[in-house]
Amino acid sequence: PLPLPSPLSLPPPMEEFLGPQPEYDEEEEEKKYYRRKKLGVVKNVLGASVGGMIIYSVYMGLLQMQLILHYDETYREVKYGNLGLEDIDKKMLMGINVTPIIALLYTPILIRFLGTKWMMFLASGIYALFVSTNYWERYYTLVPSAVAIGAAIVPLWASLGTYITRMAQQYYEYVNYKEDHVQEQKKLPKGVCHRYVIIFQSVFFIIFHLSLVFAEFPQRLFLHQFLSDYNHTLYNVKHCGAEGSGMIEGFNRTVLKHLPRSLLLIQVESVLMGAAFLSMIIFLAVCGAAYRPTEEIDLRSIGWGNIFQLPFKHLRDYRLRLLIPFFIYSGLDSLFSVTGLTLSYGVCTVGLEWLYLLVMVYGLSCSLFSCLSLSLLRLPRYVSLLGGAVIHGPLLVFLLFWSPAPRSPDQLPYLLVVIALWGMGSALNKTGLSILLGMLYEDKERLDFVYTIYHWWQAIAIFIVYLWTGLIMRAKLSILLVILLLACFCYWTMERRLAKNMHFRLPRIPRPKHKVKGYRYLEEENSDESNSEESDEDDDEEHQEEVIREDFGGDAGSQGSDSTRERRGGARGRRRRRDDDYEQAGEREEREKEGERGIEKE
Amino acid sequence: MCYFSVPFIFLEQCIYESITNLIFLYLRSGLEEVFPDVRSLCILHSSSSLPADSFSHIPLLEHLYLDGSHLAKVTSGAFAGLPKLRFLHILVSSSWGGVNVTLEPGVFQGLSSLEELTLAGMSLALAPPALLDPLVRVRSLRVDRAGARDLGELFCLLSPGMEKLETLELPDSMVSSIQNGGCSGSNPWPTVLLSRIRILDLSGNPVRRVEPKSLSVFQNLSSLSLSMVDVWVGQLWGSGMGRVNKLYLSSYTLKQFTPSLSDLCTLVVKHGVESLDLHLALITAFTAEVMKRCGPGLRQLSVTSEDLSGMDLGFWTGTGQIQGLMMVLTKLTNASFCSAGGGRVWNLTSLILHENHLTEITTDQFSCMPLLERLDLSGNHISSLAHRALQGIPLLRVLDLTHNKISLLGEDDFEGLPALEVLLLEGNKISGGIAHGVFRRQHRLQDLSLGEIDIIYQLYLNMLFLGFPTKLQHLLIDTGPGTYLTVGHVPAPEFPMVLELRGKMIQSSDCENNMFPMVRELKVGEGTKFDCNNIFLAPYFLNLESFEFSANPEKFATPYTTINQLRKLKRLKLTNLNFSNHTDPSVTFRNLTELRSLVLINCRLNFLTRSMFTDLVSLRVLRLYSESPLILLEGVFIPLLSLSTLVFDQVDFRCDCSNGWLLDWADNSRKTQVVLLQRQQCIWHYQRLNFLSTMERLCQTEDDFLSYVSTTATVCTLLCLALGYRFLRWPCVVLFFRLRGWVERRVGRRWWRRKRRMGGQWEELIEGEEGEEVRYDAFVSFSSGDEAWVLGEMAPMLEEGEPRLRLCLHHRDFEVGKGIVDNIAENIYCSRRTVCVLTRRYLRSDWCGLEMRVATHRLLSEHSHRLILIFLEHISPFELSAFHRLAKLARTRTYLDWPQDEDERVTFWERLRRNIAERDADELHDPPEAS
Repeated sequence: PLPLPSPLSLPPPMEEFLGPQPEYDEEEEEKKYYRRKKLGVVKNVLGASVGGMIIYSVYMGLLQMQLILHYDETYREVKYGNLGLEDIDKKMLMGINVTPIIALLYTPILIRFLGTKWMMFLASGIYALFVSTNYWERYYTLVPSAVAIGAAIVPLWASLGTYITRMAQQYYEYVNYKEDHVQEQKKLPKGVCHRYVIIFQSVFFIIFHLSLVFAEFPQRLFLHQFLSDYNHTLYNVKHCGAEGSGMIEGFNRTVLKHLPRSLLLIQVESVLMGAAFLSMIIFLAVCGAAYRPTEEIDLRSIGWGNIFQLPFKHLRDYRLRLLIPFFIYSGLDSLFSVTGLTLSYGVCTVGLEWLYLLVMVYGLSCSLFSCLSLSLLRLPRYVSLLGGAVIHGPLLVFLLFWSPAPRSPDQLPYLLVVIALWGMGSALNKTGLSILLGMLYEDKERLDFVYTIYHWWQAIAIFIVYLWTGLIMRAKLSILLVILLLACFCYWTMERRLAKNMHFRLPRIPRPKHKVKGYRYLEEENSDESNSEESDEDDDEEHQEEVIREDFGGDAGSQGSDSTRERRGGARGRRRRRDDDYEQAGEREEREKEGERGIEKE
Repeated sequence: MCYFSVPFIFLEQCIYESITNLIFLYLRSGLEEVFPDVRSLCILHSSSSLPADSFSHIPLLEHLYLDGSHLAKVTSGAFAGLPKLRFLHILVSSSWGGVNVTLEPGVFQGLSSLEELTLAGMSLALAPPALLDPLVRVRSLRVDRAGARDLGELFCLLSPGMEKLETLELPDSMVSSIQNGGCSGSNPWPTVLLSRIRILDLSGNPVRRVEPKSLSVFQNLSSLSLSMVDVWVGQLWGSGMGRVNKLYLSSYTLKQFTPSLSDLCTLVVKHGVESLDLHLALITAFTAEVMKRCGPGLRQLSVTSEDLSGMDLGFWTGTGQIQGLMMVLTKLTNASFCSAGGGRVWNLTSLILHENHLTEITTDQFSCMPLLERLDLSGNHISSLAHRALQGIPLLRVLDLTHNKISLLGEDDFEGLPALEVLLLEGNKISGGIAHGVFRRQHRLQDLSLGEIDIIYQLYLNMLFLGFPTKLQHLLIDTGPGTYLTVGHVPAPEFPMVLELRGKMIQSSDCENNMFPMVRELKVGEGTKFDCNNIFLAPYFLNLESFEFSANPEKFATPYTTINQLRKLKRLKLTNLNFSNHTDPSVTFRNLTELRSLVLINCRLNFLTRSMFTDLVSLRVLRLYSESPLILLEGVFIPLLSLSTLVFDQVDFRCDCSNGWLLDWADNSRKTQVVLLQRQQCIWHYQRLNFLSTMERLCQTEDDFLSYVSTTATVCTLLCLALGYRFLRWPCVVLFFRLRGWVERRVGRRWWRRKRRMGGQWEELIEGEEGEEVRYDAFVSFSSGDEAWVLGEMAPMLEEGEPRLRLCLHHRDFEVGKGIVDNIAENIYCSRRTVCVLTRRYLRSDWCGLEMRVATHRLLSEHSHRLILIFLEHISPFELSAFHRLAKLARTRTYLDWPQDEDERVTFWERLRRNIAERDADELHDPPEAS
């Protein structure tokens, strides 16, 4: 620091700050610095988990409360008369469930443009807007906000997945800051950050699944006192469970004993609104950026056209292709557990007044059994996914033959056991998939594409569930079972191929082009001129490489870039190595290359 | 037309008394909405306590009716601020026996003008001692159904200050024994006060015993009411009371009180009773002999609800002084008082034989009562009037024969009644015809009712009178199934008339006559037809001010939009009209600019729209009653500029928040009081819900909307601010500077030109300043950890070589006493180059960061300044990437590394020196490649 020009001219703290510090220990300082950084990463993970948990609690709690209220004929007619609330609700659900279908087109662009943190913040804002529109339920408020939610679901989840995985990578970097590959910002060795991916994803899901518990608070604390008992609501219900069809056939059109005061509703909604706002603040203030500014600029600079294409190109990778059935199953499972299991089996048997318990138990079991995924630290990675399938498979068969009688509250314990088991399977499934993706794709440049694909397929599956609402229960269960078996088969195939070192085709991530105006980097306008000329050359080469790559799935690219770098290299250019941006397919070869390069480097 | 099915008779009265300035509401929403100039107030109070100062903002209040059926506590000062209140009625419970209500001591504080106080259904047991002290001007005190067992409970509450108290009523309590037990604490009754009492009402109490001397306080009563259970009347005169003008005795329940007439007469004589009322009492031996004992003092005798069918009708000969006789519900089968009196003359002026079993009026029936002025024979079974039946009573002014069975009105029936002013004949089925000239002698007739006319298809009005009584003011004709009404040629009546026409079909053949224009008030009932040659009859009553019309909605087919021609109409009441079929409701009320009151009952209107009421600018009162759902479109009451009272008798709303405007309107309109909205219900499907509470529950549209707008705005603002700060900050900053630069260039050029014109001395000055500005060749920015290197190697190498460079080193060249920041900025701006000596420590130092930032800023703002980076040690991109600007610089600018190799250092110094020393002109045009 600056020595003091005159001791009298500065206040004591500044003096201290500026004065020479003999006991300055660089090593120790560095350690402290990276400890702070590690804590920051943990804070980010917890922030994202809690933020996501709160916003989903609010969203699901509100949606459930409103759907129940709007289901009640009296409430609807009295409060909204000729407004056609039922129609609006249908449109709203349609907006939420159908819009995500086109999410694949814009999600990567959105994430790359905003960055994961800001994407999560924006999405939480959209959810908060949806909460606020529930004060004033009109066609022109509810439907647009539902469409907005539908549009935000896939980006939110893709950025959450990317964020958590990326945090695991950062954590690894901060733990091993002395390693060369970290210092030089090279590609991390394969498998080094799996450990953190497993822990972080598990923690995320442990916290996130609690949202199902909190989502029932409005139901338990507010709506419960207004609900009629099962003798009234289930009066005309003839079949439950496997024999039923649709949601609940013959469910009474009125479910409320008496109508809630609108002031009370406003109060409840205000509490929810406050929670939504809190989660926005958490995303904004607690979560740090997932990528460093330079990285973010690079991510953004590969060209929007490329960003748009890359998710589709990634679908050529057989690993992703073979996981698609599992993605679909995961989506089917998440909606089936809420609509099929809790409604057609649970509510149909014990009545609406126990809905909150069913969902709470489901959420608790999901959250609790997400811990099981931590076992992947010791066990092979297929344990989680296949374990989930092993639980769900027999359960599905059991459900195919189980039709509890309506209006039989004595069945409640059995239902809770079934639902808890199902929750266990779901938890293994969800955490397993996220962890698996984080392990398979360690490249920080393509995380968002992979998670986008995953959640897009999930959204498609949710759309399918939305379409099949009226189907008979056995058909639904059979579809689930078939897809589960297919998913297991495909997954097993994938693992076998990987074990056989079969090459997979990965699209190359193009080199970043910094053609953007200088203000973004605070530099002279022409500062990038020379670079961009060079990168144009690179582009040509890359183009060729890509063709080669796609033909052989091998790694032929790195030499080219090396040569460019050498051309430039008179002044010990410690420029950031762009070479790393090249994608590597067939990672073993890549590691060898990496070794060579490392030697060449220093 | 019944407002309530509940037994709140007084409430009904309350409504009728003065509908224009009466307020009626639940005390749930608070009384703040009551206008301060209200005089009468009826309140249904649904909460359990009445807080203090409830009414203090209505200081002009004179009448207050409070129905607090759940009332359990009245706070002290509840009626404070009502100096003008004259009548106060508090109903707590409609049950017998009295409910305990906690009254705080100062409840009636401030009611200095109160004249009448009624407490109904409230037990007095919990009343605090000085409760009634503030009521100094009270004249009448009534405590209904208090469940009191002793008179002392009421009497001991009275305060000596109530000097004007004259009436004391304790009806329907449990007082079974009248005794003077004194007050608690062995105080006596307030004797002085009680002696001033004129009216004492103890009816409805099961009095079994009257103690001797117990009523001795009351020496001058004008009225006393008592109900007895098996009491010997003799106990009454033993009670020590003085004179009683009017005595009302009844049996508590049927047949429990059987006084003998002789005892009653003794009572009459002893206490100077002038008027004796007996109700439900079983009187034996009603004969002239016994009556003699009553003496001449008895003027009025009234016997009700007793079986007197076998009595001696000559009893009156015993006293002879009775002027008024009333026998109601006494099962009399004949009224031959005259023949039983054996020819004596009776000075009776009023004879009321209502609800008896008389079947005929025989000849000379009342001839012994020459002074008779009022004869009421209504509610009997009289089927015929004998020849000369009503002879000998020439002074008779009022004759009531309603609800008998008279079927024929003969020519001479009313011949002997020349003074008759009121003749009421409705309720008889007159099917035998009406003789011409039946009322020919009644020239003074003012009020005539006639009906029901059966099978008479033509009624010639002038033929009934043969000389129309020009003083006639009220005419009622019940035409039964219907008739052609012909007025004929009659002189115009002297006074404005009230005409009531009942009957199904009323048709008139001469609609333009002298009588109709004099009719100010017209009531038409139950009509299926009311027309004149198939044209609605009402418009022929040219000067009509009040019109009540009730029709049969199924059959009435005449269009009645011509009501709008009655421009002088002030009151209009339409019942059971069928607007939906025949009449365009939007024009029916046009032109009625004088209309003050409009009542619409079951008019089968589906909608009330704004266009219907556009002309009703004077309308004060609007009453709506509809059994079918009625939809009030938004803004319907806005044209009614003078509307002060809007009464919803019964309007079935739809349970729909689109009616929310009505609540807002009712809340916000300061001129209009909306009455009984609280009682309305709304329907949907199969349920009837209370309108207000449902709407309140569900339709808080304003709060909803406000919350929506505010939260949405907040969320959007947060989103925009955060995202904007993140992504648009720098574009905006750059835009700002570019704009500023542009403006400065435009403005500055002109300024420059002007300055040149002024002379060259400025230029020199500026050049001199510029020359002075560059004090150093290079500003060296380094962290003090690297001081050794800078002082030991860098400074000697650069400052001692050729060309000699001037370096700015902070510990050496900073001006003492100046702020660090100023020093940094000034010295950087006084140097041609900035050299940054980069080490890890440098990166972590804040001051160095500041120096770097200033230098970068200068680099950007002026393209001339050069920033030279020297990496003294190896710093990895990973570490550098945290400093995003520096990383960028390191990536885009050339920089120097401190070589570890001794030999290379010579070249390093040379290059550094060359870089620092290069002239500006070269830099601008030909940026040298440093490394």
